[in-house]
Parts: sequence; C-alpha cells; structure tokens
Amino acid sequence: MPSSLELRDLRVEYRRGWRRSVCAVDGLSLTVEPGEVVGFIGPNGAGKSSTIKALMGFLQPTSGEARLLGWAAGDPRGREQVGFLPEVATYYPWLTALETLGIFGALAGRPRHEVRRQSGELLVRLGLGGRERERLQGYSKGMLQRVGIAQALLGEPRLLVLDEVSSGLDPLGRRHLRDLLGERKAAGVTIFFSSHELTEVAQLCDRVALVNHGRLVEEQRVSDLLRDLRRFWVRFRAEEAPRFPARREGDAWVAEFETAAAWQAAVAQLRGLDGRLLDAGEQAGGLEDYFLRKVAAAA
Amino acid sequence: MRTRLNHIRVITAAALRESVRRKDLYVALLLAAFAMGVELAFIRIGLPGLTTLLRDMTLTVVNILATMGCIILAARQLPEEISRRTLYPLLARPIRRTDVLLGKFLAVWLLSGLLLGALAGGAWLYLRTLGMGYGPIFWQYVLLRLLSFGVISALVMTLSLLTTPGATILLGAMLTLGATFFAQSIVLGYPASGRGLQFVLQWIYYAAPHLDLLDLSRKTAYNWPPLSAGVILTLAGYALAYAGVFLAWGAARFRKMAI
Repeated sequence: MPSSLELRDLRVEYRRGWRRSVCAVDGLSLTVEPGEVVGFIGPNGAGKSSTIKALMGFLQPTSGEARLLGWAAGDPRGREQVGFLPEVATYYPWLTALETLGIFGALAGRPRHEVRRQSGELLVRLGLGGRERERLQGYSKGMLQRVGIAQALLGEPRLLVLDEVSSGLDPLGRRHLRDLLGERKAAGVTIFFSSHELTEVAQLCDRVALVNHGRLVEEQRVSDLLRDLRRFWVRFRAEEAPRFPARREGDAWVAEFETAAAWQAAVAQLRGLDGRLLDAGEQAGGLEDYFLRKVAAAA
Repeated sequence: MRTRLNHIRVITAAALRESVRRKDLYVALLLAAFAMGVELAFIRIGLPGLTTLLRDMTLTVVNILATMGCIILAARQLPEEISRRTLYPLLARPIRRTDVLLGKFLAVWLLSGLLLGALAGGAWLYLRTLGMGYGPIFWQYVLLRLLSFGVISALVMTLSLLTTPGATILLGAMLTLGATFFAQSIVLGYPASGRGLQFVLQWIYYAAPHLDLLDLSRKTAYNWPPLSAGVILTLAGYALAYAGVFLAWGAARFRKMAI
C-alpha cells in the first residue's frame, strides 16, 4: 500500500522580479502513512501553505517530488479520495451552503442524493442546521470555515489535507471539528493538517512535523513529545542552598527537573533532611513550550 | 470522457447560477430600455432617413451592452475564483484545470447569448412595433454576434490569466469594440509604413481575429439581403477556430499557473 502522502526533497521558490527569488520550502522530506494523523506546525511564513500547495498540485515545485496516495501531485487520480480545506476561503456568496456543497460533491463524482444527504448531516454536525438554505453572503468567517470543513469531509475521503483547520472557529466550532476529525481518525482516515492551535494538534495527532524557514526542524510522535515535555518539581525549606539548581520563593526553595530520575534523586536527598520537604509533583508540558523552544533554536 | 463532461457541466451550471443571481444582466437590460426610450425622442423630432438611423442606433446599443456584458462576465470568472480561494477546493477534486476553464467559458458564452437574445429580441420587437422592423438578415446578425461572443469570451478569459481584472476589461473592450478601427488603421497605415513595420502590420493583420467580419449590424440597419449559407458557415468556422486558439492558449497558461 503506498504512503498516503510523500514529500521528497521538496523545494519551492517564488520569483520576485527578474532576478530575485524567494525560497519558501527548502528540501523538505516527509512521509505520512495510511491511518496516521499528522500535525504540520510552524510559525507564520515557515512554508506550510507552500508545501500544501505543492502537494495538492496548485504549484509546480522548483525541484523534488510530492505524491498523494501514490500519485504524483497534480494527477487528478491522486485527488479522487482526498478532501482538502484551503486557508480562509469565502466560497460562493450568491449560493447557499447546500448548493455549494452540491458543486463539490458532484465534482467528487458522488450521486446527487448521497451528496444531499451527507451535506445536510455534515452541516447539522457543524452547527449550521437551519441555515443551510441561506446564501453564503450572510455567513460569518467562522460559518464559512464550517462550510469549508463540510466540503472537505464530503464524499468520505481516505485522506484529509487541511490548511489552518481551526481558523476563525469559536470554541463550540472547535469542539464540533474535533469530534468529526476524531471519528474520521477512528475510521482509519489519514489526516494531515496545519494549525496554530497547538492544543488541537496535541489532542488529535499521532505525530507532529515542525517546520521553520522551509525546512523540517523535527518530526516526533506526540506521545513521546508529551512525555519529554513533562516537568517535575519540588518545594522545600533549607537553611543552605541545595546541591541542585533551585530558586527562592519566599522562605522556600523551588527546583524543577526535566527527568523523573533527577527529580527522584532530589526528593530522596531532601527526605534525608528531616521534615523540610514541603511539596513535590509532576506537570504535563504543553506543545507551546516545545514550539517556542524549537523555533527559537532554529532561528 | 463522461466524467470530464460531467465536471464541465457542473462548473458551467454553478457559474450560470451565480451570475444570474448577481443581477448584472438586468442592469444591461435596464440600460437598453433607457436607450430605446431616448430613441423615441428622435421619432418625435422626425428626421430624413430616420428608419435607417434608428435601426443603426438600436443595434449599436445592443452591440455595446451585449459585448460589455460578455467582457465583464468573462473577465471575472477565474480571478474571482482565485481571490475567493474557491479555486483551491475546486482543483482539489479530481478535475483538470482545462475542464474548469471550459466550464467557465461555456457559462460565459451561454450567458452572453442569453443577454444578446434578450437585447436583440427586444430591439426586434421594438422596431417592429414602430413599423421599422429589420429584414431577414437580422437573424444572421444575431447568429454571427453570438459566434463572435465565443471568440470574445475565450480571448478575455485568457487575458484574465495574464493580467489584472481591470486591465483585462480595458484590453478586452479595446480589442473587441475597437476591432473595426484597428483593422482599418492597419489597412490605411500599411502603404505609408517602412518595410519592417509593414511586416509587423501584415503579421498582426493576419494573426488577429477580424471581429468586424462577424458584425452584420450595418448591413442589417441598411436592410441588405441575407448572406449565403456558405458565407455564414465559413464565418462560423472562422469564429470557432479563433475561439479554439484562444482557449488552447488559456488552457496552456492555466495548466502551468501557480495559484
């Protein structure tokens, strides 16, 4: 079975004037296997959207290769089972949500009755029930994003490529999105999405790929990453400064450790100092810390 | 092939539905009604050769409004898909870019035909009511005008892939409404030009479409007898060939375009 998505040494340059060109993606290689959920994260201008455009065949890469479900990017056969959400689309203001979904469903080659049924269901699930026959010109940004999500999910695609998936969504919209994507994940659909909402990434993804300046900075499994990001701490009283790094907080000391072993050693040492240990525990790390640290290191 | 035809049909239907809902075509019809109202003032004044003048004026109004309608419709189809970012989810489906272009082209051609039908039909009824009706050549005029809209739609849609929407409309209007003027200028300027310029003018003369050949409005105004079927067929072939050339150019550009 071919990989759902494959990027090999992908390079995308944009021409700026006659001589200058700007490199948006610089030798990026990445593979996503069937059934995986991969978050594609990075700061603004890191090359995420350019990578996705090359992957979907919207632009010709300067060099390297992009493949979708085993087909070269740009080959219509590769897109037969792909659902795609572009970043901030406004869709057709003069058409209704149902009519808009009807266009995309028909282009996916689905029978009209099936498209109608699925469109209605998806719009209700995304909180647009009762408004599906209104023209899109009256829709807010978040509502348009929901229509976009519905069009991407239409036709039960095997692979979902979602660019800035939670952009413009309110907390309820994010909840709906998470539920829908969770169901697709459980059904074995491959999901590749870019997002600045790291909480979403942590909740949904099996793996994250971090890019900066068009290069892949790091690729990690989310479970490993979250384990690595855990922090251990201890609060204690001591007359003298301890033998491990600690900071003063009032009349107590606080020390933080990256590994459980270092933390346990410190706790054992403090227990020896009878009654001076005040508190100890562990704290789950956030992807945000990881993101900021890696981006700063790669800058 | 069936799938491709279905894709083209879907794109055409969507573009038709959207354009009709935008009500742009109604503006052209209102302007035509206004222009025909103004013509009534001429009847009250009473001028020699009034019938020919009114026939000519009416067709000029039909030509300008229908051509501008066609240009504006064609100029905005693809740039709007890009600016609204709807082209991304469209092209993310298993559709070829050429089919998107063909679907849009057919929608513009059909809409321009509808506009022309409404305007020309109104003009025909209007002058007939006044007792100044056109001869049978009128229907040949409508047919050739419709075919010229095929060339104009294809040309303007291709231009919209090469330049900005504003420049597309300006260039489209210059190239189509000024077609007769350009052709005459080349013919007049040719003898006085140097050999190098003559070569360029000759090249332009033979390469550029002569939309004036597809315009029978003066002949219709002066009530000429209808043209032979052979001439009409030749002109139809000429128009379709140019529409095909422009569409092929547009498709080649669109296929390679980064969006």
